Amino acid sequence: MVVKFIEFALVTYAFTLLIALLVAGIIRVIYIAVRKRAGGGTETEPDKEL
Amino acid sequence: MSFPFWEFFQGIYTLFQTEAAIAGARIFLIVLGFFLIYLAYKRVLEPLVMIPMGFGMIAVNAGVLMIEATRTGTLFVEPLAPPEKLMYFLQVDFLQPIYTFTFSNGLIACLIFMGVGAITDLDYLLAKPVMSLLLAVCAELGTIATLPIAIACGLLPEEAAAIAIVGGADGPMVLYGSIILAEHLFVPIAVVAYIYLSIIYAGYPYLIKLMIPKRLRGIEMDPFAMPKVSATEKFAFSVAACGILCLLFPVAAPLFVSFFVGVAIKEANILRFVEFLSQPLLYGATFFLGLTLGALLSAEVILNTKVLILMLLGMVALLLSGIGGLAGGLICYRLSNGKFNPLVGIAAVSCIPTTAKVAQKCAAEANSRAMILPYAMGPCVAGVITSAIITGIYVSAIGFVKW
Repeated sequence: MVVKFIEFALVTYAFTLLIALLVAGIIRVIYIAVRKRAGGGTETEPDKEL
Repeated sequence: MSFPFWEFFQGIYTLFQTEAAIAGARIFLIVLGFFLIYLAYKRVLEPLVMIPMGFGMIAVNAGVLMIEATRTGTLFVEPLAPPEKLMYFLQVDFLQPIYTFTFSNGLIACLIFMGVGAITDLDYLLAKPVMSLLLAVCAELGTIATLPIAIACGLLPEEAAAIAIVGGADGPMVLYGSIILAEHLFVPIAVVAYIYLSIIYAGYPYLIKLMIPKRLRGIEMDPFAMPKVSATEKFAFSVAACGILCLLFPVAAPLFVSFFVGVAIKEANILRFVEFLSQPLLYGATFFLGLTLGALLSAEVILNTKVLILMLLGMVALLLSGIGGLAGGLICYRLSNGKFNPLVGIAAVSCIPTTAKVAQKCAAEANSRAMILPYAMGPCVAGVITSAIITGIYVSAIGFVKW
């Protein structure tokens, strides 16, 4: 039974990571869209250090 | 005729009319209430919650009286009131309206989230979304790992999931998750969670000192190099993220909408609403949350055999989340060639803004010029999002696990 829930927990973790990356993607798209609309370049580089 | 002198002082009289274990637990909780108030006054614990909570604990355990000839009770709150007797308790117990109309439906959690949204700065999250959210995922280690540990300790899946959510270090999320997943354990889980969330401020610095050498704790991050993010971007993000997250996790939709509407109002610069959400609403809800939680902590609650195990699991969850966050911080430090202060990782445990303040406090202790608070707020907010995602998954999917 515990093994089942370890599997469930790992799947949840992977899914959370996926959704987190999706949210990061949304943020990135909004970031670029708003900057373009404002006519400015992306003077800051998101996640440059990574 | 003998004069029933002691019966006039029912708080004392009832100590001798109940079982020794209940009387002992009442005295213990009264003393604990005094101790919590003292620690909160000294700022060792979070005073906003712990002072009203300590008062609630003292009063509910001291103010016990004979309700009927053979039954003791209080005039505070009856959390397990059956529906047919609810009107009676609403008329008699002074905190019952707060509990019935704001606790048991999660409203108080949503009110706090609205206020938190209205004081939250999303700049760093929007400028460095991948890093902030990856740190937040690392800091959910406790929420994930505590689930199978709790199952191994003999809890039912829903109960295990409810206590595991403590690892997300989000009080409102814990209230919300435990009401939906394990209503019968709502009171002990909520109390355990809020006591620990207050202890975070005092406890995490020790974990930080254990895991991160002083040289790394003092790394300076230039606050003026923080990327500038416009209010339009933050407003657009709050609307889009709210819509998408509600679509993905309807069960956590009240929390998402509460948080993002607070953010949107702040970014739209609607000053009257910002003042209302961030001051009377947030602080009013926090005050009544603390007072009601304290009043819920009666002797019968701590004599529940599951409470000790919940206390241990809550501690494990927050410890693992802290370790995960700091490990994430160390990874970012390596990837940035030593420019990133790994203490920012602890902020990803969420608990806005306590963990960010802890990160700043420890950094300043190691190097008085280290200013990492603006950077720490990004992972701190991301932690709310990942906690809500995991809560949504647990609430929606835990029932489908075949065992």
